[in-house]
Amino acid sequence: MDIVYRPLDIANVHHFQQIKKLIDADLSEPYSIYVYRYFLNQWPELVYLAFDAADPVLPIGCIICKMEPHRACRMRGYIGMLAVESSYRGRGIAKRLVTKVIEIMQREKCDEIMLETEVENSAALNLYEQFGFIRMKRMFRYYLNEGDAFKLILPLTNKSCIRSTFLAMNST
Amino acid sequence: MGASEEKSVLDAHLLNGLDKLSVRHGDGIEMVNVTENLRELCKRLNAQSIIKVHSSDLFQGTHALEVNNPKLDSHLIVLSEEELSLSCDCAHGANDVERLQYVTSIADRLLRSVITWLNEYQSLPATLLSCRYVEEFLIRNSQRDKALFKFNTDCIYYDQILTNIIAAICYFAAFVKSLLLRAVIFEEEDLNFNSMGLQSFDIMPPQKLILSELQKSLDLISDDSSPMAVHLGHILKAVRCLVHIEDVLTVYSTSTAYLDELIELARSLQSHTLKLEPPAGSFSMGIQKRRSNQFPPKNIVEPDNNYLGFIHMANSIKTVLRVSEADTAVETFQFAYFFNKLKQQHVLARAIFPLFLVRDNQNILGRYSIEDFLFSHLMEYSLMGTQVSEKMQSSPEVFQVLTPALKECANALFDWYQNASQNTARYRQGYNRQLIVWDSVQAQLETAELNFISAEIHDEVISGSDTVATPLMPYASWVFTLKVMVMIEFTLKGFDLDVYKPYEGYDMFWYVSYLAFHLDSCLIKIHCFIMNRIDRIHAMNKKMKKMKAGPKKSKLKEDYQELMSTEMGQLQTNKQYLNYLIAHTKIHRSLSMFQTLQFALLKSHGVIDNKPPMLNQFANAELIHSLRFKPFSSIGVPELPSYAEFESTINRFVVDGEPGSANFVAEVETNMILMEKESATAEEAAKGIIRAIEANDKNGEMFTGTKLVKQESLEYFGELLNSAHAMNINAKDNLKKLKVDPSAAAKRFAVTLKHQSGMSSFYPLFTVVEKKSRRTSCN
Amino acid sequence: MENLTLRDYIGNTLYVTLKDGRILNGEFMAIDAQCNLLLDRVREQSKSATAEVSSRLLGLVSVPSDTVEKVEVPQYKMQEMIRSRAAFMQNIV
Repeated sequence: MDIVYRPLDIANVHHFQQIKKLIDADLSEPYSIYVYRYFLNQWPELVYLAFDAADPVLPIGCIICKMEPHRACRMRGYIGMLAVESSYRGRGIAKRLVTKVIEIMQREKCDEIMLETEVENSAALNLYEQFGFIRMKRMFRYYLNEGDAFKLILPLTNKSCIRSTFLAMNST
Repeated sequence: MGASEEKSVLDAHLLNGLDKLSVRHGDGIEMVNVTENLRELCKRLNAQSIIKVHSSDLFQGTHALEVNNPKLDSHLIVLSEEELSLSCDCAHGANDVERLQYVTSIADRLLRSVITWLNEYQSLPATLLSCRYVEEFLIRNSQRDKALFKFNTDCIYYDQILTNIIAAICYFAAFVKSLLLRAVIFEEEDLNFNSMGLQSFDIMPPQKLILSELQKSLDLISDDSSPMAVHLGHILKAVRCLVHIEDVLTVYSTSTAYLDELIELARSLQSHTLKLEPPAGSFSMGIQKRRSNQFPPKNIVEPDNNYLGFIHMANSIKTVLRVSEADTAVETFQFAYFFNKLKQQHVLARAIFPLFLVRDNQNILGRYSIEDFLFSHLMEYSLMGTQVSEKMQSSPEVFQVLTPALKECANALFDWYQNASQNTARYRQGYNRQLIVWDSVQAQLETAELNFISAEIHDEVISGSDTVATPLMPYASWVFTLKVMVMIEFTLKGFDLDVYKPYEGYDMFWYVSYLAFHLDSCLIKIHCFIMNRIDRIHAMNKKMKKMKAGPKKSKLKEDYQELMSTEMGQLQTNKQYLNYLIAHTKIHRSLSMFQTLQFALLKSHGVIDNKPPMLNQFANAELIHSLRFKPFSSIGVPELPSYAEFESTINRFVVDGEPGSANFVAEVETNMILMEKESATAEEAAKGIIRAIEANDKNGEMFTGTKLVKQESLEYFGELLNSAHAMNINAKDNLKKLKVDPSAAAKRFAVTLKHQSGMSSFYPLFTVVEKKSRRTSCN
Repeated sequence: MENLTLRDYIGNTLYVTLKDGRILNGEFMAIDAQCNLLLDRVREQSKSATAEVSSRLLGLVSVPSDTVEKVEVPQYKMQEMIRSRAAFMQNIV
């Protein structure tokens, strides 16, 4: 089975609907259209889609990210959502999508990448920890469904390793 | 209508906050249909555009509700006929027996909802506010002045009993709201108080009124001995106990009478086996559909038979009240350290603790000022008997230079106490922030104390294996001790919270042993000073006895007796407290040393390394290590060793050579013996502490100050003892598995961090396990 | 109305009649190329089965384009918007 990876075409309304469908299906957290607009319209270059080469009309996987200055001293990338249609799981598609966006964010000079995930989501933890993400903190009952969450960070440059209070003072 | 009149009509409607107001828009106001205009304009937008209010951030939009989205549109909530038609103005039930049953059922489910709300962290609308009667009461009670609203059904069960139960539960809820407002616990995380716009919680009648009404209700059914009436009576009494909980803060009551009664009632209520079914529609999602609501729909939670949850609530609060019996700073400190450590206390108790401890006007337990409280901590540790403390009595103005630093120090101490009460995850986060504050306070105090040293107001100590005397800085030493304790706690707590992957375990445990080493040096120095001081006082006596009678001898005798009465007692206690701290630190040093040796052994067999196992184009081992140690990177002392230094330590412990070869096996044996020594040291220290606690600090060995947290501290040290034991057994098991085929070990095995009940969650065991599949990600 | 841009509408109160009969009014915060609206300080009016009108506040609400029957603004507001736009155009010229 061949999987094709493409960046987002923001003009493709069907893609937009399908992305929403893929992600809404996965999550218990409810997202309105404007959650998607927040990400897709401001950081379209940080959205990557996976298609089945045999039927490349609608994406079967997607990853949605953003990047912006954090505490005015370092550039932080954020992985907001990731979903792969259930029949396509287990083929490393999620891994490829994550690799792709981290490459882009690294190229765009992100100092670190961050995401949150449920403590019980061992699939997500396994996936990201393979890349070198570490658990920076545990958050009590972070999700509506009462679970704790981990905040994961992957450091890409030294700035990620210095406390913001000291970075802001010292940054050039 | 003129334009400005139309405008003000519309504005008035817009500004009016009453929910039931029916606004027929377009009523005399001309409207223009702009639908097509908007649609046309949108077609011209490019796909990526969002036209928005300039100053707003689209980020706000991520919390928006959404029309026709079942997860985000409370209008879509489907309500049954009964939910729609239920009236609180009529008495449900065909006869008195049925009516009593219905009222008891409503009250029963409502009372159990309190547990679902607080113990099980559900939202207010999904629990208490899902009850129609509660909603009705809160709406209608806000429209009355002081008298309590009563249902008007002509049935005393509804009008004179259910009403009062609901009023009392709302009163209790208003108390819980007040705790939230004092910012000692966190909204959404620890507690939800989405009150759906109901203002009544802010205008509750006085406690006295609520209580007298409850008594009236009790009197009404006191003659009815039917099981249903008995159950209802228990509910009334339980609710009365809830109303009294606020006494711990309104009058700082330490009486446990109502808490004990609540426990008894909870047991009794739990054991009743009545068929209790509230009237259909009396608990519903309807309030979320009817009232102003900016939250997504939340399914209501039907509470289990969870009355025993009140026992946890009451016991937690009783535990917190014990702090009022603290006689010394150390006892207070140890209380805060242990009371919430191994098992998270109930959210109410955790909110009550800081407010009960530090009262209005910033006084501690109603007894001392925060400055005095801080001063006691210092005197019960490093300050007693020092030149500095002596001089402070005679020339206090010299010490004004300390004032700004001491103020910050007091704030940091207050924050430490408040942090001890937080939920298990926030507890660690709180320490992350505290570190920098303590470090800064330490620096400030050192600067001030250097002044005293130059002014020759200081003591000197030859400590441990030193040959030269160095000055003692009692203030800075106390802060340093607390700071390093916090650093150790922060690091070890990460294991309890599963924050570290196995491969990170080496660095974290090695760092703990490093911190413990530095802490130990400080403790030894202070211990030394105290012993010297004690000896010098005794020496005065010896000298005096040898003197000839006369004014010099009398003066010396006077001085000696003065010191014996003002200093000796505390010095002895301080010395024994230091013994405890030294022993506790020894446990950490030895256990974490054991862990580093264990890890190194496993690394020697190739089954784990202290680097991320799958390094790829993004994962840089040094960066990951630096990120992990970021909280400590700015700390002056003890300085964070460099990445290279961390690496060099593991290389020292790793066994070289081919696994299975004779040299290899011999070195492994040597390391195993070292490990056994470490665990034996830890065991001995733990046993010593346990002995002292069990002897209530009276066996002359140590002063643990755990009088108020005997059970909790015994459990903590007991677990550490068990861990010391288990680590050894586990180490041997690990070797057995690896010995089978040492060359294939790397392919066959991985390492997990295993928690076991009865063991310390701060020291999970590095355990060799079979790799499950290609996809196993243990390391 | 022809000269108005989306920016002229932004910040004003829109009155949205939904296909299900509800009427929402709120501050117009954002719109996308598909005509999905974002409104703030939304008041929702709905009619029950018994024709009883009730009203409540919802806060920030996303209104997907396909749920909308019609969008209206008060006549006087429209006049204001047109006058502003005209003044703005005149200043450019």
